[in-house]
Amino acid sequence: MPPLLEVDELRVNLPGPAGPITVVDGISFAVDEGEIFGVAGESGSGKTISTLALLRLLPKGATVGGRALFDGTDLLRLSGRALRQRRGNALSMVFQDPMTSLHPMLSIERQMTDHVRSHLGMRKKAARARATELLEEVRIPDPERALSSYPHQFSGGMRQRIAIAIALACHPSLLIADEPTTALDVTVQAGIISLLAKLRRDHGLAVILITHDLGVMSTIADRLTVFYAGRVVESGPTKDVIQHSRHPYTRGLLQALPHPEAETRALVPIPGAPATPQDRPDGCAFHPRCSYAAELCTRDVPALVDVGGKRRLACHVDPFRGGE
Amino acid sequence: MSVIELSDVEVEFHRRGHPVVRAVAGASISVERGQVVGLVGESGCGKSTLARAAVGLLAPTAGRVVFEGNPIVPLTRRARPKDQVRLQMVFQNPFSSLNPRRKVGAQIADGLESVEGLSRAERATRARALLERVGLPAVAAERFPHEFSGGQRQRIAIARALGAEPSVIVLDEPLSALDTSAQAQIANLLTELAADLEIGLLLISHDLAIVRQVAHVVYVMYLGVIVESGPTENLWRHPRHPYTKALIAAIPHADGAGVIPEALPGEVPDPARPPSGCRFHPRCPLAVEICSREVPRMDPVGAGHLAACWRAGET
Amino acid sequence: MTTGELTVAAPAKARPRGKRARVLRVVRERPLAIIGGALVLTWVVIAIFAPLIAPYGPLSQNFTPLQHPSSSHLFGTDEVGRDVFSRVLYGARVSLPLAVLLIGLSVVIGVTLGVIAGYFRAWVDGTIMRLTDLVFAFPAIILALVVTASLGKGLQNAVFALVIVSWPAYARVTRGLVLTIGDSDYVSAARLLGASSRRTIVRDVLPNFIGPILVLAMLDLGGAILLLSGLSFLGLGAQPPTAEWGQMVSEGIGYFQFWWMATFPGLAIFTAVLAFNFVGDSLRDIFDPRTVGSNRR
Repeated sequence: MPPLLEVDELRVNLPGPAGPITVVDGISFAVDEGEIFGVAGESGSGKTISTLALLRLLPKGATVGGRALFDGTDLLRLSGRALRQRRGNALSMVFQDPMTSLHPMLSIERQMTDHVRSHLGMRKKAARARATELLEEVRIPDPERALSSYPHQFSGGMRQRIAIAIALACHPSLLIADEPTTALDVTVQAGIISLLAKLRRDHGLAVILITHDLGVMSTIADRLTVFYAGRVVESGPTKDVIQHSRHPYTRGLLQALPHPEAETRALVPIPGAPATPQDRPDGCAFHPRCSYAAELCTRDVPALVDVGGKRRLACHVDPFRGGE
Repeated sequence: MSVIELSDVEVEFHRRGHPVVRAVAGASISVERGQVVGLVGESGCGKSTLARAAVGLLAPTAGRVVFEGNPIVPLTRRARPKDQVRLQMVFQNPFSSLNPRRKVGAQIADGLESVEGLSRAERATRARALLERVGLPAVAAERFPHEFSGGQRQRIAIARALGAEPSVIVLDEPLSALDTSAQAQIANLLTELAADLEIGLLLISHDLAIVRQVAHVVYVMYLGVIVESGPTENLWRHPRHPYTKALIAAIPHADGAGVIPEALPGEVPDPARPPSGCRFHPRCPLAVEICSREVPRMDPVGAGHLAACWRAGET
Repeated sequence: MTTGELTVAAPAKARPRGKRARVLRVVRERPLAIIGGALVLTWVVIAIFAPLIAPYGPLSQNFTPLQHPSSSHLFGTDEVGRDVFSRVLYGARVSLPLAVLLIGLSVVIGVTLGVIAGYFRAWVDGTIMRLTDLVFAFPAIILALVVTASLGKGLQNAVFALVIVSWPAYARVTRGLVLTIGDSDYVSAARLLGASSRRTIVRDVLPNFIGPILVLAMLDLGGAILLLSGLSFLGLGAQPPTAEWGQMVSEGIGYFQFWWMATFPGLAIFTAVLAFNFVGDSLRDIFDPRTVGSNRR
């Protein structure tokens, strides 16, 4: 079965004060139907920009290269009507900050039905019914009342559920969730994670889950890709990548997290700061911070290669090969 | 002897035409020299308000804050009393806690003005030394805040607080706006400073995992009240309050195991209309009749470990 | 010892040094800035060197009145035989300095009151705001007319009247900015470190609102020229025989068929105001803080 989304050598340049900056530098990945695909990375990794590129929501002046095949069509070559038809319909997105992702002045009903009516051509009554159905699906209590309410009357967690409901309105096959739980409390986060798992179970919804939080990633992502400075450094089934990570950056990220069994108060950070697109080092972008860096790493960008077990790795040194 | 002690602090917010909001409804916290005290809680629990009351940015409506043996005076239009300057704060947002139009060195030197008998040149030198103490190069003093990353700016904010030679620093979510790498680095810096300089730290955070690693003592807050407190390890291994248990159960672990953490049902109530009796009772799996009638006290459940739950003894 | 992030030296390479680079970039991207800047500069030069540039004095009446523009009288002559070109040039010596004075005084008064209102809030704020409300209740020109009518005609009184009318806007804007700035964490931090109110205002509040205020002031210079000309046009500002643009337009209108008498002074007003507006717009772009290195995850 061909993948639902296949991204091939995606490249994004954004205009900068001293010329264009390469924010995404040749990223390739594939998402299967009904799969929850995790994209992990810190700031400057390009994870958000790559998905915005898929939906063509980049700022003015951005240039995009590569291909993104969704259901046979290259998203990057679509324009106008064809693009609008897909966006929000087969492909939709949920953003990080629930406080700003809903229109503050329109009722929930309005926000949900407008969407459904324009994409699916439903009539008002049918649209309202669909909206109620969706609110129930995302477990908003008292959906009738919720429809006539306004965003400010809801908490962050509820707003995020509503945003997800809107994103689901047109039965998308792929939902891109950009840091959907980062702005939420941990007890609320658990609810959103369960919701995404349920949607996948009940509707076969594929999700691209973007987050820097490897804990969240661990809970529901089937496969995981780690981005650093605009490139993929490692990918594979989540369990394998987390329990047996092979890239020094992935290892570093995991080690920097607080550990329940830690013996001292000290955490183990990765030295330095994440490379930004403006200051990407030559060769492997991670080399200045890597304890295993060799001379080759300072010159050549490591290619992303298959290393067996459905895993891919971009590292010249591969210090953890052989499992550890 | 605690270096700062909050006793039954309450903070109310009044707005014309709206019911009074008791953001903090009676909280008691104490911090000792060199101790890292964590205060955890989720949105709406009042921890930020409590932090601001602790340093004097807000005036408590009831209760007191005693710093180095003396009650503190909240900030007025006058300059802050000199002996309170040793009670400092680091804010959550590294992008708005530094003046964008002044050089970093100058802002750090601000803290040094409270130290007697330093000339301008001496302050500048000390400012550079403070930058190095927090892991930044001395040349950073000549730069402006926008030239630094979030983690670096937090270091600068910490250096500024250190300039005042504080005995207590209250940190309001200092790590939440930072990347994983920076979080670990700053957390380590704080642990070091507390130990080396014998500074008491009140670390407010919603990230339980980091607090667990870094704090000696933890207080858990819910809807304006402290519900549990105690030495970190004890609290973690044997949480007694249902809310603490729920918080711990909700943390996702980066173990690749595919386990979805438990959600806590319900919503945080409106602080203006808190539930009667125990504030947590509408969402509590263990709630019984007394919980909706009477407010539980913080009772001992172990060595230095207190919990405010009518059923704490049973679990 | 925790390893710090030692990449502080790096930013200077990729990002051109702050302000200077911003100025150059704005100039490159906004031709209006160049045109405006050139025009402003031209008028400033004219204002300073008018006695050297102008072929004749502004008051010399030795010529045939009402002559068409010609090689000896570029803008023609007026009804009493004065060279219009020279008078237009000399007019800059009246309008520009007075506009600057007008705006300068309004800014000083307005900003001071605005800072006091915004920083100390409470009853002080209320009082000052009611005062601005009072002034705002009157249309600017009417109020200016009333003041000059009671004090007597003349440029001095016109400026005084216009200052009264202009300061409230600065007070309002400043107050708004100061209210926002006052809530920011860095101001709280400064107060926690023991800074007095005065110190805090000067060091932390002022540098952060002065940019937008200066932009406003520059944009208002154009408006000030217009207001001064307007009052003079109505006979309340500059009095004849002073060469002032508004006054000249006023006279020229009475001699309609001798179009050069009103047109050239009118063009002078137009170009000067436009120039200051262009420059003001570009200043806004230069002063806008960029969101540099935002750590959005």
